Amino acid sequence: MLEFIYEFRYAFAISLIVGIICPFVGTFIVVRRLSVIGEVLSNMSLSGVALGSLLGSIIPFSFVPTLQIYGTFFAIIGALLVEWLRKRFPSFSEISIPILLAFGMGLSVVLFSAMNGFNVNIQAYLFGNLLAVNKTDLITTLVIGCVVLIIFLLLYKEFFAVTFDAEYSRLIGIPRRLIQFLLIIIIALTISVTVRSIGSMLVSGLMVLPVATSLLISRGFKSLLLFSMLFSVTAIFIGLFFSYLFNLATGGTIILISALLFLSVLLIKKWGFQTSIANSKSY
Amino acid sequence: MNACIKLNSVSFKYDHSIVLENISLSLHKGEFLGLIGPNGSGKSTLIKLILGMQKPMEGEIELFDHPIKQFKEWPKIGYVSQKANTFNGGFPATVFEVVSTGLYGKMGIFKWLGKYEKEKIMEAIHLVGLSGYEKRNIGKLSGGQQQRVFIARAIVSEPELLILDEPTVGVDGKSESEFYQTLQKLQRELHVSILLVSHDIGAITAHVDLVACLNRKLFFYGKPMEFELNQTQIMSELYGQNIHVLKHNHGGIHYVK
Ligand SMILES: Nc1ncnc2c1ncn2[C@@H]1O[C@H](COP(=O)(O)OP(=O)(O)OP(=O)(O)O)[C@@H](O)[C@H]1O
Ligand SMILES: [Mg+2]
Repeated sequence: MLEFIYEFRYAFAISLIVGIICPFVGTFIVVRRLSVIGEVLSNMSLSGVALGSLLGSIIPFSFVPTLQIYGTFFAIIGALLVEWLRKRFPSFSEISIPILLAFGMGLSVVLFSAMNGFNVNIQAYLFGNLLAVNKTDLITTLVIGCVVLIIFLLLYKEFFAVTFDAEYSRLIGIPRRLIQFLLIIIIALTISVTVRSIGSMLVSGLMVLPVATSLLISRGFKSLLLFSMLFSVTAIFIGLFFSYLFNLATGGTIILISALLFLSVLLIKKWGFQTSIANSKSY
Repeated sequence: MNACIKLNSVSFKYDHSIVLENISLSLHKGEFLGLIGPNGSGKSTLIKLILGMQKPMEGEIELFDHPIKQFKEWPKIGYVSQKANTFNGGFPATVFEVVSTGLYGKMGIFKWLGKYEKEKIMEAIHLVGLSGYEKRNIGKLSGGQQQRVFIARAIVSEPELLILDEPTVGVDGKSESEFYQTLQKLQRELHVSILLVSHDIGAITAHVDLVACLNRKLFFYGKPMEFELNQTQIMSELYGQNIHVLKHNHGGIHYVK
């Protein structure tokens, strides 16, 4: 067991960070009814990575410190586009999602196909590989993770106020635009950093599933955040362990455990609810 | 002098239709102004102008003796919107959390709730009669209780001016009279000035210092006594012809076309 932890210490450290920031960000996404934004941004991030590797292979000496930078940049653009489209179509705010989802997907596919022959590992970006992360990944994740967490801790009450009632927060003097912009940047940063470890196909699941589970049992916002983190970190650790033990895809295993947690809480709650009804009927 | 709100010949239009025409009125410190008028008469729009959410087409607005453009002390104003309780009902927030947002503007950025703020929040919750509900999910309260949560949010920062847009819709009779008592307490003890929009003309005239009747133009602006003297005439101008004033034994007044 200890050997396992030592061998995958980077994976553990990264998953702890990712496991904390993803549900944090996910909570704000879910309550703003934007659950699918994760899907859009991870697609955008993927097309950024594709563009980065294309540029890298066409221009031999182009300086690409890490492809994640392209991914992050594209995710931020994607997030800003989502907000912009939401404002253009206030009564159909969800329309921005399919538009940008399709766009990001199309762009990725075209860019990757243009690279036919250049040996790029798309698989790694689609599904991630937590057990294969290295020190550079850890440092990137750590830096971005800390930035995200610090911004959240400093601006928690503003984020909450703006998310709950944007018009009112503007009235009491909270810089609503700035807060919403920061929130979007944070969402994009979190997604692009998580894509590397969990994979673009599964990021969205990690952001939404723990929050959904937590929604079943929380009454307030703070408890929603804390329980989401608890569920997410639990799922990640169990998932890591199982995927190592049975040699399974890490990202997929983590998502499955998350889904399992959601299902169990749902069933427990339903069962608990029915027994309480049964009890009250017997009176 | 000492006017919390001062409107000088204010007009406003949405797109092409004029909604407010040449409105002049003022609310002085410690006064209670009741604003009445039919649906679509521009009451909420007038409030949006006062809160700076819309800009007047003509005329000037002053808040606490400052032109609205230069006014910065928004925490001095507490506001309950007509749509306050149309939020997403599944939103996971407790009564305490919602009321605390009323303090955020005053507290400023990068600060956390301290002991003093928490006490203020509990006090506001107590004042609207929701003690014991602090940890309840706001989505699971009744419409009237939710409305009271938003009133608590508006008063928690101890504003000098309280603006309420039909806050008693969906509130039962008993809570409504408690609500008026709360407002009068705020007015008397803390010298809060109040602007209240309501459909309930009977209740308004019984509690306020000033009545304003609005239907695009200002039809009446003065003391409830004067209003009651000319009630039939004002009401028929305000709501159109053929309105009969019905008085009920229990004190309520209804207007029927
Ligand atoms: N955002 C808007 N765009 C265009 N017209 C609007 C808008 N908001 C309100 N109006 C129009 O302005 C007029 C005044 O609306 P307002 O909401 O101020 O009325 P109100 O007196 O508050 O009515 P109620 O008693 O129903 O709340 C109405 O005719 C309405 O149709
Ligand atoms: Mg209105």
